[in-house]
Amino acid sequence: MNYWLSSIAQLQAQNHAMTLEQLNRQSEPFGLSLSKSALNRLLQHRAETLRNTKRIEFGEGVLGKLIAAFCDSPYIAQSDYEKTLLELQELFYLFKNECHDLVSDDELIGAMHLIYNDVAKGSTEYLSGIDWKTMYQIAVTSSISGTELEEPTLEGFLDGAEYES
Amino acid sequence: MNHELESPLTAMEYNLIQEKLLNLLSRQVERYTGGDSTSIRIELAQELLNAICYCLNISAECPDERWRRLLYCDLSEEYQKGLKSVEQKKQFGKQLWRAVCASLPTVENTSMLDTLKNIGKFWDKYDSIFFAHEIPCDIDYQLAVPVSELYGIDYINQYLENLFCENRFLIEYQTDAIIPILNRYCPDYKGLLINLFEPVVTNALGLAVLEKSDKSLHIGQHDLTCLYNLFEPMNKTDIHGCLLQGVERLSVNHTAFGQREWSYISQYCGQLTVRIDRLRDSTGLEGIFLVT
Repeated sequence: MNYWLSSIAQLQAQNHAMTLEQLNRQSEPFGLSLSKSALNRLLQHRAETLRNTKRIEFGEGVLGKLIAAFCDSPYIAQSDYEKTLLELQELFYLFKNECHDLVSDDELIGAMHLIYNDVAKGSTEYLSGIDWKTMYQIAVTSSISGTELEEPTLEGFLDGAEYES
Repeated sequence: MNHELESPLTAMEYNLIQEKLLNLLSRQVERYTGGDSTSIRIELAQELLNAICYCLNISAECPDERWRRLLYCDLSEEYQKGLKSVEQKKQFGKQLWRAVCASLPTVENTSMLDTLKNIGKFWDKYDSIFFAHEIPCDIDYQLAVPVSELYGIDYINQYLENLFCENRFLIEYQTDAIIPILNRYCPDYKGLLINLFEPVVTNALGLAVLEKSDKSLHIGQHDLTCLYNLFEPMNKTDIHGCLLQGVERLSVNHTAFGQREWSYISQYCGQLTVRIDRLRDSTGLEGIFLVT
């Protein structure tokens, strides 16, 4: 692997185009904000995750998009805001690989947001256990319907009973 | 052409060129993902970078004087020129492929025909925008003088030029003269992965060196003995010189050929020299010049 490409990737991942102010402007209406040191930790973690997942990132990265998508979640409080963002950021790059880059950033964040706020009920651990094919399906359809995560309905239960009889 | 650095790049020069390349790569990644993804796998980024460097005619791994000229130019413009050049080479290659297909030798070989069919599909598979350095093509038919150190469309075009030279040489001889040679070389010359040109040009050169007519391609036992006696006292340089004289004698009888064809046969003489030098004292020249 080209040495300078990977070393440049490392340096780039430490930087972020969006300022702390811009990031917090999105989340402050929901009582969430990052300190400078928290942002630095997130950027360092981003660099590590990109290295571990063997990815290289150009442009401003996905942190701003993750904040924009998740800051209104009822399951995130200021006390665990940084930790949750760290976990979501890591899961994002892992799922990009697992889905073989077949989904766009927006599609994947949309799917993660849907699952996190719905069936996962704010658990990143639950989110991490989602099979990549299920994540892919939710990403491209923007719906949990028709996937293994869909909660059974009464009609569905009764339909099953008819088949059995 | 020597591209070695006249003086090492300074750290500032190196960093500046890296930055320019990285900006170009960043835009290419955006084009590739359609703006849908800010990150890609590093292997993919490496391939996109390799393609950019191919179009810029530089090595991604080894800075040389071609890197230095990038300091003073608009890299995006240079890259666009490179893309245009790749496209022109592709169009030239298509014409060359048609010419090769239209001038096949009378003796058939399955791997040659399959390779030409595969190259026919290459024109649609070749991604000159993102992966110009790649060769998405199975090339089974091996040339007497293999193409090396070339990539992308440059490899294909050089391969076709070399194949064109080989086949044009084969066309110079009657089928009745060629078939006994090929049968001695390999009875299943039609089905196996062998090069048709090599045994034919080798016998032609042997006859030329003996100042005999190459029309029949026939080398007898007596001719073989004469060749052995001729080469036995020679060193490699002398053998090579002798073979090149044979090329000159062949060129008198085959006036349809141009500089390119004779240059290719001269390159082959380099390989033939090595084989003669290695085998004359062990197995003799029988496996090299075929007695029919």
